[in-house]
Amino acid sequence: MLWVDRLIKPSPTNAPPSPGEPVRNDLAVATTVLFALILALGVRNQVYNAAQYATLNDGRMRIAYPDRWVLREQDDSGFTAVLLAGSSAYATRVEVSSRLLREGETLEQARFERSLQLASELTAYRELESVAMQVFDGAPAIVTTYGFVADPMSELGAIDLPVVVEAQDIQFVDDGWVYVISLRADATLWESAAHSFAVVRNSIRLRTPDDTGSAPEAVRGFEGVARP
Amino acid sequence: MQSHPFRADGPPTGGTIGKGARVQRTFLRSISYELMGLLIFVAIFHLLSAIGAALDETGLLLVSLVMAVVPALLWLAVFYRMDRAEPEPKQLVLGVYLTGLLLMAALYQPLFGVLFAMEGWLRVYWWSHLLGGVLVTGMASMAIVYAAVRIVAFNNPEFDERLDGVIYAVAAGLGVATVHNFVYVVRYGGVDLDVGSIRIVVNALGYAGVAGMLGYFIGQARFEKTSVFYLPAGVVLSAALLGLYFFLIEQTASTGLRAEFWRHLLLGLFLTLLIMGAVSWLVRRANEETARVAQLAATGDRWEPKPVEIASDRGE
Repeated sequence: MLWVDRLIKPSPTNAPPSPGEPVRNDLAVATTVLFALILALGVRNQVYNAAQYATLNDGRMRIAYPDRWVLREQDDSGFTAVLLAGSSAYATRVEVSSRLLREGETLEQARFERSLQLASELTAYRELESVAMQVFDGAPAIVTTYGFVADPMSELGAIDLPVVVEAQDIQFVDDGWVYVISLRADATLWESAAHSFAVVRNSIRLRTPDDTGSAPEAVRGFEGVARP
Repeated sequence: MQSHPFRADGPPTGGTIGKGARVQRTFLRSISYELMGLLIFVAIFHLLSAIGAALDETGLLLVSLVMAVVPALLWLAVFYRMDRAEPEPKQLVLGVYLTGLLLMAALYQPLFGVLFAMEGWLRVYWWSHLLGGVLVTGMASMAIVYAAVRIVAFNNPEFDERLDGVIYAVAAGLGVATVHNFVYVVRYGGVDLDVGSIRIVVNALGYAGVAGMLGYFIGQARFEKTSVFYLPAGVVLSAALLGLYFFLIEQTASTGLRAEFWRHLLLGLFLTLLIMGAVSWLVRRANEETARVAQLAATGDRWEPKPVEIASDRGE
């Protein structure tokens, strides 16, 4: 076998390496390692971008969620996908819901209604920030970041500490429907879930208005009320 | 040890055949002693695992950090047994070990934590685990092993036989493994003494064994003219072996929800023996071939390439 012979005896004449050979080898090794690391970045991005798609409202809307997440509670107007293998009792998730836009209703009004609803449903609801963004081909969207306290273990009948959840709602109107995409994770895992959430955000092409690159404009905040 | 490999009156040898056979036997015997030593290390910590419960967090961390270094010291001690006919200078071996350790310590967080953020994607799919292990962990670790040997030992006159390439590379690999073990211990704020000792030994075995394979290539490049692809092929092969080693260990070591750490150890021992056996065979064959060609040259015979036999195989 030629390759084994070459492996054992790279120089059939016992010729010593030329003076410049070590430096040449250094460059060859460095190039190979660099090439491998670039390939690895490709593998990493492949994992980050691996996605599945859910369609809503008779195919009007198509939203991606990370490939390794599990789909739950899907109907024609919404779905929930969760990461079951997370390290927190509160599973990182995306919850999508939609409804028909009422006559004369604006996106801002829809957002206000949503905030009222969350404030009454969630424990220790706190709205942190709300900014104007764009989705798809420039449709306006409002991104609201908030926090609340969840008690996932008590729902399962077990005793454990409650979890502070960080969440972000992306709300927009498309073809007469109001959509709310809610990204939620244990606050301590919010940063590490960024790549998974990017899959969802990228599928609706969420961006700052007109791609100006400037900081998005803040929307008037909602003073959240903690539920007793 | 004192003679320079590039003699003016003949080709470089990188070791002689008689000495090669002796070194080969010592090499395998030393590896066996090393493996026995590591097993004893694990057994001791397994028996003393109850002590871990009595220690506070700082005590456990200190004991764990000692554990992280012991397998490396065991390996380094074995080299002196292995290479006792022509022992490498202690400072040189230690220098290569520390260079590997420092390079990995400097690059660990920027590379694995920031640039590649391995925690977020490595174990998501089996293929990402395998490819990430080869392309990131394997390539980066082997590049560091190569750099450590190249910087500290490659041009040193003490590097005078092929086996020295293996020895220095294993020392650098142990430096890399020590950092991985430190990180493992610190991340968990100290480890269970029984399970932790197994994990630490498995790490040391993997890095040392695979670095030995790269050391063979470095040894060859030190003494012979090689093609431009030879050393890169060595780095790629070693990185692939390292990625495969940890992939196999993690894939086969758990049944359901329970992790079988003894399987880690047994598979690690088996794979390391396999790799070290292959390295040992390659070094011996390379020394034999070199001696054969040198003998031909000395008797005035001229080396000629063997004709390629193609026609007869095709039945033409």
